[in-house]
Amino acid sequence: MSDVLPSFVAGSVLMEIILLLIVLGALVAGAFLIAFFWALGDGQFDDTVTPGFRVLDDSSSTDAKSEAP
Amino acid sequence: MHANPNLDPVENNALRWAYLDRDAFVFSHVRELSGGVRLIKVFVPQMSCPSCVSALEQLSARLKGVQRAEVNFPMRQLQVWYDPEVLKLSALAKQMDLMGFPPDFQEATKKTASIGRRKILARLAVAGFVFGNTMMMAFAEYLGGEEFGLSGFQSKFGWFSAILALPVVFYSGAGYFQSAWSALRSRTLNIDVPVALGIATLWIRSSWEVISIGGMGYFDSLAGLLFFLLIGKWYQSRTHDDMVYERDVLSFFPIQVMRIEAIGSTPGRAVPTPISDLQAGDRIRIHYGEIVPCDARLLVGDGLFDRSFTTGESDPIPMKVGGDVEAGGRQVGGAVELEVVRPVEQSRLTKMWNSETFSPDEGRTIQDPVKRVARHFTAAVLTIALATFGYWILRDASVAWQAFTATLIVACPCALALSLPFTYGSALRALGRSGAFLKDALVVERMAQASVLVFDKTGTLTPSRKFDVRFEALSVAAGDSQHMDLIASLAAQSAHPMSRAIARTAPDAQHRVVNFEESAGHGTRGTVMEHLIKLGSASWTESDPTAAFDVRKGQPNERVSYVYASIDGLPVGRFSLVKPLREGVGDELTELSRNYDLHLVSGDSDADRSVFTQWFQSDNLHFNQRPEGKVAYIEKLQAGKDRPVVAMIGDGLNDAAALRSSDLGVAVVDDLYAFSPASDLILSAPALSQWGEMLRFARGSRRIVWALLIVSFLYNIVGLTFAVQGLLTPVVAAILMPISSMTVVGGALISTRIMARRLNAN
Repeated sequence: MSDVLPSFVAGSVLMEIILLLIVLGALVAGAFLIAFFWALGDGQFDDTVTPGFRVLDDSSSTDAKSEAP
Repeated sequence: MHANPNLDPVENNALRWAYLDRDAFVFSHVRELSGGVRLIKVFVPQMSCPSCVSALEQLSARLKGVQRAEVNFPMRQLQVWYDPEVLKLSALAKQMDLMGFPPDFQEATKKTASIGRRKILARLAVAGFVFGNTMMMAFAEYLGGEEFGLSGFQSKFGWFSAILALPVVFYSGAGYFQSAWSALRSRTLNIDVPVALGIATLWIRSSWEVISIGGMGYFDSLAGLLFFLLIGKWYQSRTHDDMVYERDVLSFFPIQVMRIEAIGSTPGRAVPTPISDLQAGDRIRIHYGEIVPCDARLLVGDGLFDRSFTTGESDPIPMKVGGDVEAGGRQVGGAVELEVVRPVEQSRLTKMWNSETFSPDEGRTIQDPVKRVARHFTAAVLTIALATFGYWILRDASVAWQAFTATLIVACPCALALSLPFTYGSALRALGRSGAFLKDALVVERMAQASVLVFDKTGTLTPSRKFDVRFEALSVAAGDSQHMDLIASLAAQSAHPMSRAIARTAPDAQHRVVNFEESAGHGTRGTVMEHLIKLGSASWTESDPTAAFDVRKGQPNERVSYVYASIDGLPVGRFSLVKPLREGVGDELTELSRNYDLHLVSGDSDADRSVFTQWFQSDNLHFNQRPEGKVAYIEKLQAGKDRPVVAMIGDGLNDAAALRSSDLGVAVVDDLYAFSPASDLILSAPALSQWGEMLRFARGSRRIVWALLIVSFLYNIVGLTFAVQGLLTPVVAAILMPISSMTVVGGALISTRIMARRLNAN
């Protein structure tokens, strides 16, 4: 590999980019972690059963509900 | 049908929910939100299916003033956001009641399980996030980093991991440090002590590597360890949210009663009054089926008080005007009026409940097995670690520190701490499917250890309001079905439990009854289809108890009550009523008596003694026991040789104290959501015939825990052989730790499931 690539690439210079990737990756994952915390605080994980039932309910009153505070 | 007005249930009473609109109630149960909106939580045990959920949530469309209604099905809870200007709580309650979901406002406020679980999930999420990210960076090192040109990155990766690991140690792991610290402060060792020690060592050692030698440490193993541990905690925390285990005597009483306002000396109208507002001298009205909340004196009507729940007496007690009524009796005759003698909090039942016998036991002396293992384990680990340190310090000081910490790291009892939550957690669910609802997973352990079973009789072994009825015709006057209809029509007018049992034998009989008359302690009479029918004692009906009846053939030793009947003055026969044991309980007792030490403590008279001698040794049969006597008996058994684990199986308030002082309190209930005394386990009554099987299952679960402990010890030994030689590289730690955890978790789940198949098959 090293005879194809320029000599500076084979060293650590190009690989430095992985540090940036790791930081970016951690930031993206961190954003999801924060989103999870928000959802948890919002009570979305308190009850994981009932929302499944609501899908089965095809009456229209669910629209009215989503407008309520 | 000519209904007896005395029997009209109080449900139809519009005033039933009046107490909800009082300021004191609103203040303690309702949350004020911004914009004048209020939020109330309601426990709705009757919801049982998806359509119940949608029916309740559509309250917002059906009822003016409801802005939003949201159901939490696992907790059987409804939250209602409403506008107090438009909607009164009593109107909400009435509407729910009409829909078939009578609301319970008392228990809803006690249920706040979700907060603790949110915390576990948050800690779990942090650990999982860090686990993934540190693992990613550590992966190159697992594969022999230098070949990939890692050498320049090790230190950077290490620093990055170290930063990521901070929230794992100080947030995700905080619970373990707190628990370990409080254990150490009270000079005991729990399983969290070696866990916390392992976490701390891992962190210090890894940080030291990063700072001083530019390595990467074991942060991936650290995060993974907490990740798995917290999964176990989360799994164990999923219990039966819909059950209420901590009820007290006040939730047994009604919230309000009808107080009769006195205008001068003449009684006026009835006003709903919270029971806490009752004063001595107040006049109250109690309807059929209602509970007397305080000590009182009977003023008007015939009292017939069913005290099976408070004292264990199986037969209702008749009471004449002027008689003293103790709090806790349920009126099973017509409506009566009473004068309050002592307010609720000074009544005998309430006082007894609040007395010391009834207050929760400080520390039950039964130890959970892991705790016991933890003590030896911690001692062993510390010994090995110190020995390793001592060995190396003499030969190669540089290895000594490394080997010492590696030993502590490897010995961290992760698998040990996982075997119990996963095994008992899934055992809890399997038992739930069979009708036994455990308060928490550790109850399985006590079920497995129980060797002495103490039963209550009334309501536990026998159903409290059920009779086995058969008609024994008088040989001379052969009873035909027409007769039976007439008698049953008369019986249907009476509130006496025996009459109601007789009425149920011919449910279609609905003839008109005129001139109905009831005489407490004797019987009833009335004219049906122009025949004078009498039902009651032998003298009331002018029957001869020694006449030749078609005597039923039943079990020997059964206690039989007779109700005689006559038509137009002519005796026609009698009904024999037997209080049977619950279905399957007889066989179950036979089965249990082989392996367990069985005892019976009953508040009832010893009329049934002979029935029970086939299962219980006669020294172990105790009748006429007051609640205090039951507690003393439990304590006497606990003081026996080898400190046996005593399980109390009861149902009523009279068992409440015994349930608390026993090591395993089992409340047998006919209705899962009705009142049951505080207990460790709520057992659905039909499941009582499976109790032996359930105990066997619990013992099997316990064996699984021990087997898995041994497996995890084997892993620890493998790890220790690396560690004491100073050869524990991050990759060894990273492989060994998840593998041992997975084995334990997988083993726990699979073997419990296989065992549960047999339990749930029945």
